[in-house]
Amino acid sequence: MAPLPTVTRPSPPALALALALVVVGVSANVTACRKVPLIEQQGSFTAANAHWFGNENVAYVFFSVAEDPALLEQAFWEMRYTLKTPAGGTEIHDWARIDFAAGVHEHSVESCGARRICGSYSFVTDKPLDSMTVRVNYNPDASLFLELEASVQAHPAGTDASAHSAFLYGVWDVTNEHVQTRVHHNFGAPGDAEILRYGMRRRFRIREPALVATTADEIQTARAQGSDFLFTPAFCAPAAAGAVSAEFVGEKSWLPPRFDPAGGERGVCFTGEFLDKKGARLFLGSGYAQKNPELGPSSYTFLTPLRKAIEMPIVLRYCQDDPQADQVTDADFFTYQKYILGLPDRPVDLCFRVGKEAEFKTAFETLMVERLTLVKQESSDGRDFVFVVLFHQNLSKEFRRFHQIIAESLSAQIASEAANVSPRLVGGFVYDSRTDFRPTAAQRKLLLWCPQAITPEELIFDPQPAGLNENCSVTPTTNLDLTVINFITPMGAFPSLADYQKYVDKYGDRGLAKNPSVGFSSVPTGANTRQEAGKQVTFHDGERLVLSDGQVIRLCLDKGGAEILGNLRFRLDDMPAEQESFTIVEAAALWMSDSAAGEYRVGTAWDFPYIGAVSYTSALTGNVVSVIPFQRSFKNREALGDPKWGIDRWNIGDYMQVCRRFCDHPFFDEGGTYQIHAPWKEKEGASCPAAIHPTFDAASAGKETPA
Amino acid sequence: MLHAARIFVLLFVVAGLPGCYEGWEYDKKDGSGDDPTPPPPPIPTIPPLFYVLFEPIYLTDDAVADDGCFPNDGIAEFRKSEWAQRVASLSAALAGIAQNFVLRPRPVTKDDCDTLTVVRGAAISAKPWAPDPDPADDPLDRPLIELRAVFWEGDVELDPPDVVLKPNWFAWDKMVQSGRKARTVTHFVLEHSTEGYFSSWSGATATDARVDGTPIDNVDPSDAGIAARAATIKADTAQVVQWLLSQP
Repeated sequence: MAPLPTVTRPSPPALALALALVVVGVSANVTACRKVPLIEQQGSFTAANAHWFGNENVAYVFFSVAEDPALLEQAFWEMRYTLKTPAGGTEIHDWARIDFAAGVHEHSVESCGARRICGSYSFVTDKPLDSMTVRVNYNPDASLFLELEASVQAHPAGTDASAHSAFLYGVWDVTNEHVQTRVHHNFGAPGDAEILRYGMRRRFRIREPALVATTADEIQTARAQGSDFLFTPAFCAPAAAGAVSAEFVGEKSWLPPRFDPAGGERGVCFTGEFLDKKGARLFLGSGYAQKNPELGPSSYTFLTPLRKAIEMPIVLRYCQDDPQADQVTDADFFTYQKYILGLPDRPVDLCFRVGKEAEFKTAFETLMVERLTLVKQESSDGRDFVFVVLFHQNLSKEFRRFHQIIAESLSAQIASEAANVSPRLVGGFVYDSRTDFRPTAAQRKLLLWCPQAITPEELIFDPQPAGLNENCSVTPTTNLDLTVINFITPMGAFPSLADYQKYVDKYGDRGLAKNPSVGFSSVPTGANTRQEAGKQVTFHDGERLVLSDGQVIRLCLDKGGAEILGNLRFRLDDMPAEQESFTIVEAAALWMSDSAAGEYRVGTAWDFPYIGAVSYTSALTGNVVSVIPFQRSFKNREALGDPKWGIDRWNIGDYMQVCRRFCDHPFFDEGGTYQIHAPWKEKEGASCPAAIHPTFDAASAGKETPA
Repeated sequence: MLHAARIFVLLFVVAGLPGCYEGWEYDKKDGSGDDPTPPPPPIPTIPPLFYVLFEPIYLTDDAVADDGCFPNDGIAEFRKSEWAQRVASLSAALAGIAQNFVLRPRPVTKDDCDTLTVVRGAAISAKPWAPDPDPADDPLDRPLIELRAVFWEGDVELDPPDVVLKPNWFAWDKMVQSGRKARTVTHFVLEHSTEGYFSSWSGATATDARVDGTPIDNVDPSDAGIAARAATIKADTAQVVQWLLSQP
């Protein structure tokens, strides 16, 4: 026997509660409702436009209705129109069904958006259209309909752009070898891009395409007389007969022939016939395909003329016989400083002590002059010189007089040699022991002072604070969390004494750097060095940028690293000596003009004419599962000064787009849109996005290009 | 049963919203439901001194930067910080023990560092506290103190004039003569002291009218030295205050 189904009965209190909830819910539902009015949901015409073109003797009508397409499944369309007779009368054509199959062109009614139906129709008439009303009947058995009187435009026959219902023009593939003819529908309303959605497709025939030599002036004249599409320009005579190159229904078609891109012709002329859907000619015109601007990168490469400089080390240390020496020196750190600078055995050149600042200043300046004199006597290869100063002390912030003396004296010495021809003193590098002294802005143009502490506040207000670019900064150690294996990067090459001591305390190592090598390079100066706006501008032998007639250059400042161009300067040989060289901004404007041609000498503006670098082998100190310590060596390199000078070869050409020919022609943009109204040369901005060109399709050549 | 308990809790919470049960009330200020206990009124204390005029004498920054006024270039920043800290420390301490405290610095400028006319001017001033008002009478008859403090590096090759060497400068002398409980005290901190104006003044000042600070002659330029200087200043300030409070 099957078990009886069990029924759960609610207990009386629970039942009461449920009932109460139902009552409350019902009453709440009643009070939450409000009465709403009935709204009539009715379709309507949203547009109706009619045109008549005397060149073709064809009338066109375009219409759209906002309605649920399901309600129009059995609909039929009617039109009523009037024509103007030559005698000035009106010829009335009363309501008649539109037979779309009977149109001059291919027509259909299409869904053209959410709750939107579009349609079109065309018929032959040699009389201008005067009025047009279109109507849609929902159902053959019902009397419900919508109707709208269309806006009517009659375009008499003529040669003006407004006399043509369409333009035929041509575009090229990326290599300027193949032409694609395109149609621009010229109704105005609807717009060119909407014609397909109105269900109209027209037939065209292209004859006798051929390269034609024209001038920029002729093109300009044709544009002024007609439109930017250059339809039926004076230099392209239409031919009523001749070989047919393409016949297509739709919007575009590749022409089969290949054209020689090397020639100087600016484009291809072709004859374009407007046909009805059966192939009968309605109108004859001509089109012109302007070649794409010939663009390409520049191969120009600039070799930075840095040469290895001679380092002149000076070791400065707080005097060991001073009673306070133990308080303000650290033997281990001093050893490290000498080691990383590659001076392990060098004795102290000069010691200093509080209270003897004036004596130190005199001695330091004398020492510099002596060293400079000596190196100039001994140097024979023309290389420049850099002072490398080891400055060992741990004086509190209230004892910066020695810092000031070093910065002032060293920068004054360097500045005094700024205008000299190489070999000369080009800069100074100071490895201090603390981070709390920063040279003045003027001194920082001549000195590298390490280490520098950049405070978080400075970074907030200025992502590139002064000390960061020009001097080495102390960067916080980085923890690389590799889940199981945790690495801790060691201190940089030039730590402060405080950071060094923290490191030693934590890792028990007195400096892991090995094989240190510090080097500096500089820009030799000579007869081609000019002073401009407080900077040295050095022009280098053989550095020339040549623009021939017709060439223009667009700078691609949107590319990463383009800021490197800011240091370049350009001069033409015939510029007066007192005229400052062109900056990249000035050159950019010049190079896009008709005056761009010329042979430009290329130089660099230096505000910090040397760069240093230190390379060393360091180590990662790590723990495996926080138990087993180990170290792992890796090579490191830290640049001192502006890192761009560390690049030997600047590929300036990467930031230039050179136009060799046809720079005043329309162009394809990065979205693949043909910018027919904007010659490439007049395009604004300093960016060079990659253009998208149509790709030649041999299989469809002569027929409609598939979408 | 558990169901009923839940309903009870719900009812209790709902019922608790519009009002409080007997024995309960809304919290009044801090949300705890209890009235905050008001803080006890401050216990009035009577400052032991009625009036203190504090006149620190030291070089201005531009004078310190001048080799003629301050030849020891390397410790310039150290001394400027030291003197500023001494003035600040003493001002804070004196303001805590005097009912009326007036700070009237006598900074010596670059042009005055070899003549010290500012010191002589203070000595003969009838109202050295100006523009503050004259010291009032104290119904409690507490002391009125003029504290001259000399903070100096080295010395000035000059003899101090008699008006400066007087135990009481002019204005304070008048108060003493009028029977007021006025007293002049001088605090000397002469560093790297040599013979000259301030050493002569110090030597001519009676021991019961002077309280000497601790000169920092051996300057430790390390961070530890900076910390030691702060400790010295703190101790000197405490000594001055203690000395003033211990006077009859």
